[in-house]
Amino acid sequence: MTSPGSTGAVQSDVEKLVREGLPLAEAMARRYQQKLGGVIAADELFALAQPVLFEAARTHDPSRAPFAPYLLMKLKWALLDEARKLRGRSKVARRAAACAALERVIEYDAEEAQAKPIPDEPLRTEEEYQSDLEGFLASRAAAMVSGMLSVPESPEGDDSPEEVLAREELRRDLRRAVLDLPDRHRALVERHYYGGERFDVIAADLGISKSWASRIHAQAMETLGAALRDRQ
Amino acid sequence: MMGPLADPWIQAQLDAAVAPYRGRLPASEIEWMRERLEEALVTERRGRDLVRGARPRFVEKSGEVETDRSSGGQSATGSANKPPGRRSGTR
Repeated sequence: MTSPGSTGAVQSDVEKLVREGLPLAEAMARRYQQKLGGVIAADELFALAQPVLFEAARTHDPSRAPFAPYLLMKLKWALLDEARKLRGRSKVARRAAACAALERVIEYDAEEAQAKPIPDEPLRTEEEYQSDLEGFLASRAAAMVSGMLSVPESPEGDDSPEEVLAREELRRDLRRAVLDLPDRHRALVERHYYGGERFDVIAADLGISKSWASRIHAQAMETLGAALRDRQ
Repeated sequence: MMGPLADPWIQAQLDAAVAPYRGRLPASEIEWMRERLEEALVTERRGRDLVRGARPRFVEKSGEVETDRSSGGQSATGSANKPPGRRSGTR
């Protein structure tokens, strides 16, 4: 078949890309099954991946990027987003939201590392490295917790009342720490985690690039990590 | 956990990172977060660099300090600022 698709891709090209993408989609499903700690089956994630694969094959523009990295990027965010929306699966939803928040911090760090392949910094003491390591871990923990707590409590959930109460107290502490963030950082965190707005939409609305928004997000997570550590 | 991350010092770093959330999130979620953080120390370049820089290295013989022969026998960079019993890396 050679009928053109809506973006100009012919049907045979789309089918070829789908065949090329199937093993990648399966691999991503297995990868996120492992990352989510096995709370969802790889088959379920693969089922969530299939519409993303078809859409990616249909919309892919070969002049802009090779198909494989384009698909992997789409799958990463779409799988976590879809898993987050699964009804009656609050544990899956919370971990998916946590994973997405963590991925955002990791992605920012990776971009920074790529931009600065050779660190141009003076030799540092173990104590300075130790302090940075604590910040590195605390910011990632804060990102995961911010993601987890962005998922509303579900009446269908099977958590004990004690767990719900403890989470509610943590949510209040986190909320207080968010209120102490600088204006732009607070706006980004509030709109993304509490308002459920897409990251790129918020960035555009704040008049900043997506990569600048990622930087603000990473800084916010670092501040929240330190604040929650101090509130222990 | 097997391998270098079984190091008690690394385990203590991970414990400290999840400590603010213990008792406030279910133990299964804390353990899952800990696994993700452990993964970050293996898969992320910055994580690996920070572990390499921060991990304490103890002097093997009492009173000896690692020296950099290429700089005329001066002590390795930063070691003057280190607490006793620790020496700097060679970054």
